[in-house]
Formats: sequence, structure tokens, C-alpha cells
Amino acid sequence: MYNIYNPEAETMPLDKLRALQSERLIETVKRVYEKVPAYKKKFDEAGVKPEDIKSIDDLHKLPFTYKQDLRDNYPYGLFAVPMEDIVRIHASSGTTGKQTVVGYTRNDLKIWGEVMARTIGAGGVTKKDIGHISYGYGLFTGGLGGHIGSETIGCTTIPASTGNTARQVTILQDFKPTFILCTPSYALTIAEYMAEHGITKENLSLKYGFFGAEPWTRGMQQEIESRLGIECFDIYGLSEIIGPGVAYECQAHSGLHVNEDHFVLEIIDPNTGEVLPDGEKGEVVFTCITKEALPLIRYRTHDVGYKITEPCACGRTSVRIGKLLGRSDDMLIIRGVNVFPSQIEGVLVTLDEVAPHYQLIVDRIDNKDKLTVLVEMTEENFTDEVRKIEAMAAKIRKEIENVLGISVNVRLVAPKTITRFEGKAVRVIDNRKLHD
Amino acid sequence: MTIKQLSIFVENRVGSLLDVTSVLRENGIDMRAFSVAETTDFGIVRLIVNKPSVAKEKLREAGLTVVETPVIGVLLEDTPGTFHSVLEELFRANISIEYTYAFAKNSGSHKAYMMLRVEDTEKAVKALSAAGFTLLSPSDVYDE
Repeated sequence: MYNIYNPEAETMPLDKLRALQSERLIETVKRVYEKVPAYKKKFDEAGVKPEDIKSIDDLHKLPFTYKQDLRDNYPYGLFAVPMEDIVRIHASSGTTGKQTVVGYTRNDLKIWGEVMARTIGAGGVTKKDIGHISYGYGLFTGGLGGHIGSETIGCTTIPASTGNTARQVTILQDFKPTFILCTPSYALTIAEYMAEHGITKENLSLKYGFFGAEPWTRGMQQEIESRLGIECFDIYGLSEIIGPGVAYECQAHSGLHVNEDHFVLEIIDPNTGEVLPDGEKGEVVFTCITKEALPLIRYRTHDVGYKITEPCACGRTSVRIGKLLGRSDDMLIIRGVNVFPSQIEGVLVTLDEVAPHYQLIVDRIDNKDKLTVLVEMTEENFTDEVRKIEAMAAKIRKEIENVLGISVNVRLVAPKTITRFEGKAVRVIDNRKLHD
Repeated sequence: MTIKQLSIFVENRVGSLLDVTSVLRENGIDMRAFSVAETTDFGIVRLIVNKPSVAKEKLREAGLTVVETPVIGVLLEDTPGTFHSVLEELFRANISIEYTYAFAKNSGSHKAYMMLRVEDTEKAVKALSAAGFTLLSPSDVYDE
């Protein structure tokens, strides 16, 4: 019933998995200490030697790696192999500063294909399927990551990339792909285009969708499922670790399985750096234990999540990450309360009155933070009567306030006036001058 | 005997009314009556035009949110108390009014129309007609 691409690796008994992780961690730590001067310096400063790491249980003794380390060693300073062994370069979108550069050896690409094949396979995809890869192809890892996974399984692979929604929809109808990879907001853009042009989900052959690269909610998942007629799977990854393929949802839909034989997960308290007990929410930290080119040690992702260690119905033995609660980069602190844009999205998708497109504006007026949520009115729900519209706005406001626990303003705006993004959606405009 | 009023959602920002009026000008549409209901965040523009179907289509093409709302136009003599008698008639029939606005019949005339949006349009038309009021008919307004 549950499709598993690599049963041997994905259902490995835990004792065997821990032994494999230990062996791989010891080797990796030794290698980065010898080959990467920045890591030697880091380890020496932390007073830890490679020989102190005797098993996976010693992982917490190692120092963290931060995005800043990648910037300080820009572009190739953290690579653990000579450039002649690097066959591929990718770079992050650079939305939060200077872009970060990552490299892959030929073997790293093989691993990427393997972990992405597991990711897509976990949704039920087999080599008989046709894949529509609608993440951007280029420096961003989404497109080529999806591509390598689809080809590794042996699927017919359509490198559609992003943009030109009309053409994408034509391909979806004519080439009959059975699964799609894109950002969740782009999936909704496609659904909207179809609705405008009288194209229904019955005109497509899609069965599964794999979405990630931006925070999204269960509610948005349901909306995509009903509008495109597919089963949605959440995927997780970041270029620093490998790209998409770090963790993936299976057909049991109860958290994201981590490819633990390649990436070791820790959840830490972001303030103290202490490893948290299983189940507690904290910052997601990953250590690469098989990568050759860029084996990052205890990389701070700034994503917020928690560990699920109970056995999964699918039979995989790997630890799962509970639904990621958003990136700490996206997190806003409004009057001392942590607010994730994904929480607001979670409310909007449950309301019929409005489209799930929104924008947040944060202002500081008289030293007080003010959060305004711009929400699109839908044509079907526009009425001529002011009090009905005001009642609708009040209802939305109340629902959002219930979830966030702080007061907000809701401003209804005209349909289709909030910019649609094909990559990572920019949903927050912070007008507060917090730094002079 | 109702008139098709176009109601348009506009955001509260500089120039938003221009989005509406420019479409009307470009398409040679004549406005008969115009009213705006405003709140802090948005407004609803209410229009009676000579070509409601064309106007609706063109406004929608321009990306505006438009709905058609049936309203009643009552002809009023320019003498004190006439509007009061209209309201009395509606009160007697237990019909509540959502909103109302006026427009002059045409220049030189001493008559005006009160446009009424009520909760039960059909009932209001019957009550007002039975009481002898002259209601605005589509042929008085439309050129299509």
C-alpha cells in the first residue's frame, strides 16, 4: 500500500541506522578537519578534536555552522574537495543577504538523485509516471533537484521550469504529466489560471503534487488538492544541505521523513544551542554525513520544527519533522509575539469569502506595532452592501486574532491586486524602523 | 420596474475613482446617477448609466469588481414633503431601506428621482405603484 523507493535504506532497523550514522559522521568530521581550514579553526576554537567524536551521540559536542560561515568563505571556501572534483554549482536566492554558493561532486549528485527519488517515490510515483518540474531551473536547487529525482526513478521528465502559466497549463493538458513539483503558491496560480480559462482538473492527468520551498499550511494543501484533483506531499530541503530531498512526506501524511542515512537531524533551542527533547519545538539543525563537496556540520537552518519519533504507518524507520512552522527569517515579532505568515495563510484558506493571497504590512505608530493584513475580495463574494462587507472583514479579523493572539487590522483589497509570485512569495512589508 | 445599478468595489487610495471614470469615458458611457458609500478602507461606487451591460463588461475587463443591483427610482415633485410620503408608504408596507440617493431628472426640470435600495424590491415596487408614485422605467435611463 505504501510506495517505498528504496526499502533497504528507508526501513533500515534503527540500531543499524545509528551505526551507519556513527561511521559516516566520524569519517566526515575527520575529513572536514583535515580539508577545510575554516572547520579546523572552528573545531580548535571549540576545543574539540575529530577523535572526540566516537559515535552519533557525540554530535552535540561539535560547533554549529551558520549561514554567515558560507558568506565569510564565499564562494568556495568551505568546499572539502579540490575544484576539479566539483561538477555542479548552485546558489541560494539571496533574499536575506549575499547569496550562498554550494557545490556538488559527481557522487553528491548521485546522492541527490537517490534522496529525491525517495521523496517523489514516497508519494506513489513509479517509473511509469510523467513528471512536470515547475520549479525554477538555474542556480536555485528546486528545478534540477526535482529533475534528478524524477529521472533517477526513471520517470518521463518535463523540465517546464517556472513562468508562462499559459504554456504550463497547455503542457499539463497535452503532455499529460501525472505529477508536478512547484511552489505551493505557484500551484494556486496555475489553478486560478485554469479557472479563468474554463479548464477543469478533469482536463489534466495529474495525480500527485510535491510542494515546498516556502512555508505553507494544511489548509492550503487542501485547497490545492481540491482545485487540481491531486494528492499533495510536502517536501523539505535547503541548498546548503543538498536542496530538495532532505525530508519528505509519505502517503501516511504524518510528518516529513528525514533521509537520516545522509542528513542527521537535531532540534535545538535557538537561544542556548542546547539539543531539545524529542517533540519540543525548536530550530532545525542538519549535519551532512555523506556529502563530499560541502559536508556542513550542525548547520543552523533557521527553520522551526519538532521531531516525531513514533513509528510511522508506512514502515519507514526514519525520524520525522513535524510540520515546519515557518522560517525564523520570515518570523515577525509583533508586540513581543512571534508571528509566522503561514499562520495567517492557514486561516485564510479555511474561509470561503477570500482568496488565499495576502500581504502583511507592519508599521510602528506611536511606538506600537501595528499589523495590517491585506486580503483579496473575491468577485463571487462582493456585495453592494457596506455592512455585509464590513461583517466579512470583521469575521476574518476575528479568526486571525484567534490564531495569532494579537490584534490586527484587516483591509480588503480588490481581486488580483496582490502580486502573484512564481518563486518564493514576498508577503511581508515591514515599515518599522528598528535600526537607525 | 427596477433599474440596474452597477456597484463597484474600490480601494481607499488616491486615484481609485479614476479607474472607474476612465473606463466610462473610453467607452462613451453616460452617467445618470452616481453615489459613493465609503468606509475607512474601501468604498462602493454606485452608478446608473445609459448602457449598463456594456459598462459592466468593460469595467470587469479593466479588472474591477462589479455587481448589478436592482434599485427603484421614484419621481418626486419639487415640493416639501414628497420624499416623506414615499418613506411613509414604505414604512406602512414594513420595508426597510438599505440606502438611498437622489438625481435630478434633467436640467430645467423641477423634478428629481430618489433612488432606493430596499430589502424587498418587488414588494416596494407594488406598494409605491399602488400609492400612485411614478417609478423610473428602464427606457427613461437606458440607451441600449
